[in-house]
Amino acid sequence: MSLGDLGSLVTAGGSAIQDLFQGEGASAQASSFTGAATLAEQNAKLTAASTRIQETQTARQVYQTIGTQEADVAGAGFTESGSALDLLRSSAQQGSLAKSLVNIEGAISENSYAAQAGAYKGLATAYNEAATGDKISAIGSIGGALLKNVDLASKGQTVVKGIDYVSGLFSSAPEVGTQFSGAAAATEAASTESFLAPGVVQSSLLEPTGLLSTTDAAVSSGADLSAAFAASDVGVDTSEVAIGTSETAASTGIGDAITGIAGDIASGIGDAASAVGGFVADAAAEVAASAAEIAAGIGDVLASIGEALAFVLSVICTAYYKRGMITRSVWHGAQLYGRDVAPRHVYEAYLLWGRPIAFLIDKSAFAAKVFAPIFIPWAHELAVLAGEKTAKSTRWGRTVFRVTYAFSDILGRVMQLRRLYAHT
Amino acid sequence: MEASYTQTSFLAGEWSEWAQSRFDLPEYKKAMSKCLNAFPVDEGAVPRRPGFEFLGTSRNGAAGRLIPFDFTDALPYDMEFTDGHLRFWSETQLASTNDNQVVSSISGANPAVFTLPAAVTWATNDQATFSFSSPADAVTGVTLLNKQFILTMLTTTTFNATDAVTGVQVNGSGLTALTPTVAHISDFTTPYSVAGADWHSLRSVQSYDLAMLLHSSVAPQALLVLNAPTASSFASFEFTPASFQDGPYLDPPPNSIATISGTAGVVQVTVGYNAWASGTTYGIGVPVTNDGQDYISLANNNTGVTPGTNAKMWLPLGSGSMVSAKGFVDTDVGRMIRLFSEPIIWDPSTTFAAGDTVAYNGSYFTSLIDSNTNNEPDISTTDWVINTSAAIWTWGIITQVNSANSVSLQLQGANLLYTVPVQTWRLGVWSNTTGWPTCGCYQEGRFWFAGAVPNRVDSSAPNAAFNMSPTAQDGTVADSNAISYTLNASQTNPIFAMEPDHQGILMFTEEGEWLMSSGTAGAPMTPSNIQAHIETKYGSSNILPVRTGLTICFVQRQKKRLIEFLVDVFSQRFFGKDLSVFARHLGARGVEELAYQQQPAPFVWERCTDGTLTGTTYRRISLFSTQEPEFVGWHQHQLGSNRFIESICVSPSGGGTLDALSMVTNNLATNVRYVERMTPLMDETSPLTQAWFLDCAVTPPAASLSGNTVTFSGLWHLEGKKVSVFAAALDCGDFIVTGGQVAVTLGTADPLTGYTFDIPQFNLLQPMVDDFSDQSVTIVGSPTSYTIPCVIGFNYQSQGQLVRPQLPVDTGAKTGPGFGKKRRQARYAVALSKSLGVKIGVDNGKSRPVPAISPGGKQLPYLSTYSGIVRDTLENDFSFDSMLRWETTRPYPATVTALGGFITTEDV
Repeated sequence: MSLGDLGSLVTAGGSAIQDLFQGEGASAQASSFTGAATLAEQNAKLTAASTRIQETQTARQVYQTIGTQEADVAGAGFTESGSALDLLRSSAQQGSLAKSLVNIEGAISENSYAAQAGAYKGLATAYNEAATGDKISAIGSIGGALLKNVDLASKGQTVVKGIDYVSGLFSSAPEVGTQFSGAAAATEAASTESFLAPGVVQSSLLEPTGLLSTTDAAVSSGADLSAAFAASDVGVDTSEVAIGTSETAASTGIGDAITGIAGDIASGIGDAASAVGGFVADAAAEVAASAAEIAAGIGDVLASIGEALAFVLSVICTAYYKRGMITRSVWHGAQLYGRDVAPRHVYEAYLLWGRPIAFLIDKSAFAAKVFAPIFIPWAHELAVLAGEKTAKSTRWGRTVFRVTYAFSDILGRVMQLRRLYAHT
Repeated sequence: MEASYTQTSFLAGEWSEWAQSRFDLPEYKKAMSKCLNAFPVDEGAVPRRPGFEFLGTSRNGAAGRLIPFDFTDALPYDMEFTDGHLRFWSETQLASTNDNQVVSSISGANPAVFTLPAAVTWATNDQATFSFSSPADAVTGVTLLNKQFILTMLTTTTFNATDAVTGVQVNGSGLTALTPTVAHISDFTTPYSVAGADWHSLRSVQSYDLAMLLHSSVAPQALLVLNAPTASSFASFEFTPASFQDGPYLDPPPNSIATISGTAGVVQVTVGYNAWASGTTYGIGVPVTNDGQDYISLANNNTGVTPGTNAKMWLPLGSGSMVSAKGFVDTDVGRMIRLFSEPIIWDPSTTFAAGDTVAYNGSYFTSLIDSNTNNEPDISTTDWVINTSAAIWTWGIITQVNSANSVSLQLQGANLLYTVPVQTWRLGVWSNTTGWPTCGCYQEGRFWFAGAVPNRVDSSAPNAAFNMSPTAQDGTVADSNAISYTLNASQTNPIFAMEPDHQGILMFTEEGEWLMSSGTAGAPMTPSNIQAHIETKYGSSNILPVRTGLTICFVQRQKKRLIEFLVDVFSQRFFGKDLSVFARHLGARGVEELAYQQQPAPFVWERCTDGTLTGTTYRRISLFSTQEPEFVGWHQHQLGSNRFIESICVSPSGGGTLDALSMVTNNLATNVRYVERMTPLMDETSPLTQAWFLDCAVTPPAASLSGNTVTFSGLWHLEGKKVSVFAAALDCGDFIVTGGQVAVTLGTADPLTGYTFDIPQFNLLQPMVDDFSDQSVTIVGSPTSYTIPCVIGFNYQSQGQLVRPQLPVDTGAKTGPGFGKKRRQARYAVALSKSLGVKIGVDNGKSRPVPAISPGGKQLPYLSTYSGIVRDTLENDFSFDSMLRWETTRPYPATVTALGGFITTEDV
């Protein structure tokens, strides 16, 4: 694996994480809209009651107005006749109109709230669907990126060695780490923006927000019930489009990942050969630059999500255990390694990249099969390292372990540096 | 011991005997015991009343009435109403149709045939007058002058002429050489006649050039000036029934409906009541229909009792009872009906289609959907939409009465919107059945009417004389709509008169005086901003009040008292004062008509029930109720002709510089009516040649000198009467008019001045013709003609008498007032202005002429009058009265400015 591929993998991981958070945000939005819909329904009921009150008030005002007029006519020295009757009749008619207007306006408000509730419900549904799409997209991104690396690993021993070499550099050359830290700090700001650039799914999910405001405007204007309904319909339709778009985007993400496998195999081989064969001397600098870039982006993400990572539900071994693709003892052994044997920063980094993959495995049998050649030997290696005797240590398993350990080690240190930087 | 006293003002006028003992009052010093054919003026002096000029007979000499139509000050017009006709007097002339023709020829036949040079549109029974440009022709053709003729049109260019009063046709003998100018009299046919719609009660309400003529039994007529008059042409007019639009109306009959046959053109309208419903509770007086019979509930809480089964609960009604006891009658043709075209009332059990319109709770809704059932319109917003144009008022005129409850109505307003029965409809107030407004006024751009219905007033829309719409088409009442109100009076009585005032409109009823005004100071009266309250309870007679400078004067209910009516500036309350309190004897004659003259002095003229004329010199300056008018002086007038006065009116004189009193007088012996006009008051600058102190007098239209006799001709209206001739500013004596002529011999001496009616005086007058152009006649002589002033008419006597001198300072009594103490006046002193022929006396004793000599004792020059103080002796004995008296018995001018006596009082 070249350093570029490593960066690509990390980028995909970051993108996946971003999608995950987007998905969670969409879920939160959906929840918010559900609440708004409930409120709108309550408003509709309150408006109905308010209208009845206003109607009564109007009737009382008309009665009082007519009474005043009758008294005025008599007080003015006239009988209730001629123009007096015309005025009284006109006032009564005006009162009827006012009363009807109260009813109509009440009905319009009532219907507006009902329409609002419907629109909010539609938007909540749309965001729920969008959240699902985001998560699927995230899994697709990371899966696709991992597939690239798997292929690279299986196709070129040179690449593995290169990775080992790099890993060794990190573990044995603190000064290089120091340089990396400086580089990371220097490039952090510039990297953050590009790292967080929104994806396809995110941009499509922004649209319903605009539609919501359109619906709100139509309703709040209260001008035309039909227009409000129409606008609401448009909102719902557009929400559906948004949902469709998110679904399509999610599918496209997975598709891209899968489709990328074949292409990346060839290009990965070329890349690896180029990296290991021709530019070993420049490896340290390359690693530093790439790592700095990655570290800056991931650092930002990690800084922003903080303790929210706690909600992640499972990791890779657990996912395979659930699917029955590894034994309980292997799964238990792997867990012990992660929790008790591996350094803390490595474990944290592992959780970061492992849980999206685990989620994907958990959700998709296909993904589980795709990832199985990589992570089942890897799980066995972990279990062996934790002392589980039923597990089998293989060369491939060890290789994967080293690569993932190196990656996690780097990632974990970057996270530590980021935390330190943030505190200072 | 002799004392002297002087009365310098006569502005308190003539006092009744009951008042003549009030020598405790300051006004006593200005009072008179008698003021006949004279009147006090502002300055306090008492000039003679000027004589009345004969303008012409009324149409055919028939009974008539004058009403002013002051649409122009420079050329004022009076309307002359006689049976079925309306003509116009412009100052002293009958208005013509401005198509005068110079007659081409007159045949010598009897009747004569007059030939015109061009065809005219005149019709038989039209009337005309003749005139000549040459005095000589006037002499020859005098039979055509000073008369009105009925035309019999032979062709469009030839006619015969018949004297409109005597009925004698014009004989052409002796006229063939003449080419008189014939003027076609402007004459409109009217619906007014004594036998029918008596023009005596006619009222005119004027707004600039539009006069609305009101009468209780005739629809108001509109007289409109089409072309204003010029110096050379008369005004032209249009006289048509007033075409009121959309009102006024009575209130909608309760619980009634009007079924209509269509929505446009002529529709059949059948009126009835809503059907009785067993579940409805009816109150007393609520009418219903059941089985084709109308009933009215006789009890409250009338529920479930079928009409016709219980006579104590329901009273049967005749058909059309909501209209009148007889329903519609033939005289309702022309009456208005206003209909409120509404959709059907929403019924929850009815299924409505899209576009159907319903009435619901006073609003109107249109269905948005088909199969619309049981969706309450004002809350089912997706099923119904409010419709603001789904109901309209429209109106029409009844063209035919089909039955007691059905008429044909020609729609005048918008078409009806629906054929469903109309729940709200209104019948016109005015009609030949219910009567028409009898009085009104014009104020703030509105014509106001009253009198048709007791206590009710109606107005037009502002600045729209004929628009009486009470609401807009949708029922909205705007400030610009017409106004209808009924006074909340404790009594039912008609409104006799309406007078605009700065506070509103004063309405005079038998019960009292009402003020109708805006509810907001300075704001106009509108349908929603108006009030009316009774201000005072003097009670008014049905006589049109007159507006004076600051007040309104009206005749109290019993027609005996003249009330001044004004707002007290302090309390802002109206109050009235009896102006006739010291002249009860004059008020006792009864007042039939008032007229107010501003110039040359402020007079309120009263036409009395006995056909005489009284006047009140009256002015108020103070608006404090605690203060008396500046002056109130009554005077009485008796025409030299002794004719019965039937109508009076005041309008501006020519040029608008003075007001002039016009009247219609009746010769009770012949029942021929004469239109007369008071001549201008001679003031201290007027020459004697302008003196006009004869009644029903004229300047003769023709005069000729033959030998030593001057013959004045054309005195047809004085035929057989004893008249006085005041010619060349000389009293030529009395004559009997024969053949329309009087002959005065040259050399006849004026008995007072001694100057003779002769050529030398004529010659003296020729350079000053312009001074007397209004009363000049040319004496056609051979070879010389003379133009002189001449007035011939009935002589009348003017008298004035002071009240008893009573105060010590006046009588010289030493022990208190002179009351009850005999006194004698041996001498008098009088201050005269431009006077001749005044006689002074005491009580009823013999009066002595004031010497017509200059202060230096010399004879007055010709054409001179006396101005100054004269003192002379009196013939009288001791009495309790000793009231100085003056009189003028011949047609001379006379103005007394002060009069006093030298009195000896016997103290007891």
